[in-house]
Amino acid sequence: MGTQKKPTGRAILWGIISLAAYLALFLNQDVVTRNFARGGIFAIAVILTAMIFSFIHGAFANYLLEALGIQPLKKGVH
Amino acid sequence: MRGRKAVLWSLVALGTLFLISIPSLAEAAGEALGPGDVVKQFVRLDALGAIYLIILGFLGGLISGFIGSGGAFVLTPGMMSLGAPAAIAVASNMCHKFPKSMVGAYKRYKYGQLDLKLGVFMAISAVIGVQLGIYVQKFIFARWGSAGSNLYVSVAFVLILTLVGLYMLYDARRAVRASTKDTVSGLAEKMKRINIPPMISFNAARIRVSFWVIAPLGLATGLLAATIAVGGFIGVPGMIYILGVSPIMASATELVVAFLMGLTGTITWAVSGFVDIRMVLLLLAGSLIGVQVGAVGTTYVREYMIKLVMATIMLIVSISRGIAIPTYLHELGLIELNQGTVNLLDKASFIIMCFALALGGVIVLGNMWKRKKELQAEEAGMAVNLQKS
Repeated sequence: MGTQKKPTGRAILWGIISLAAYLALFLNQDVVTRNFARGGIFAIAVILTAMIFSFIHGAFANYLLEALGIQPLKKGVH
Repeated sequence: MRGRKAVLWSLVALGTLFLISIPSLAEAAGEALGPGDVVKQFVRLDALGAIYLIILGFLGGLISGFIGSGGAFVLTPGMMSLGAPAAIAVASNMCHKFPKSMVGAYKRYKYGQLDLKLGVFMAISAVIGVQLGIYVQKFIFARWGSAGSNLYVSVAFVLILTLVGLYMLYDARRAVRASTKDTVSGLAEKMKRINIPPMISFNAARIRVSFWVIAPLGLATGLLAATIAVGGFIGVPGMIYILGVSPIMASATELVVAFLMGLTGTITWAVSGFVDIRMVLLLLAGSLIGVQVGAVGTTYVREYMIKLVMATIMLIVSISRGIAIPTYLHELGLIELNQGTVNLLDKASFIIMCFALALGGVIVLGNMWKRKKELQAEEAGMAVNLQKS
């Protein structure tokens, strides 16, 4: 705890990628919502979008917490 | 070798039933949806609505990362309060649940807190249990309509959550008083003595129990997920008190159940086009951070804290659901209430649910903060001692 270098740079990088992904989707929200509401094969697009965002934003959240020093205290089973 | 074959066959049997169950999973959200609720209409989201969803997502994620479940009870009504029709809110909650649980499960797996094999057994039998729950729900809906169904859900909710919540609270207090990490469940010790094959060993959870103990527990979790929308509030206590799994391991394993139920539920809702991806992504913006903070939080606290947080949330949520009961009695024509009272009860119920979530968040973050301060003080003390010597 504490002695490792904090991944601030990576947090910023993933933050920018995440923000860009959110902006891209919300600036085109009408097209996205209309198409995703069609159902059927578009269900794959819904699930893929959720997966991609969870990867990008999940990575950002991970580095952000590490940069803020919010890290696990102990590893292994209790 | 024979034991391994038996385990394999029991998984194949469960898997087949699981596949049969998928088509009806869309209804696995607990809310009794009448034909009028299934409206495909997407709300306009403003900045305030977006911030509201991000905060709600963060709190839901925090609780979910810490106790393995929770959030759905407030996220679905939360989205409906923005004007989303019930079906859209239920579908979007399902779609938000699986990535959040996946990230939470991955984190807790890395901390060595997850038994994947137990999670798979529990998840598959829970998905089948959902099917049973839907039958119960449909029967009540056909017989007593929407208000009757809501009344049944609320009464079951209040009874089950109050009983389990009170027991968990009593149990957590017992651990606090005895100054131990956690208590041992007598019922689980008895269950371990049931020797009906196939017996299955779960190495990470350090238990060996009969398939015939796990499968009914998973079924019950799914049944309650489909009827009262909070399967985790039964799954986690069930794993602790019936299987004898530690609270940390049980809450982490529940995330696997949430992932599989969320994914299969999403597939069915998304095929009909009911998922509002914008609300899903706004919830995820908060919850992917929250779920990781919650997961980290489990490494800061003693085992009984998980029981304490879970019991507190369960009891407050059951009060909130209890407040809604007079409205359903009014709709059924059993009591008389004016519209003002109905609206007031409705608002009070939602605010209390939000309070449950917020209080859970404060307990988790507060305990993390306290522990961190203690550790810093210890480190400082040690440094002073070293300098002296």
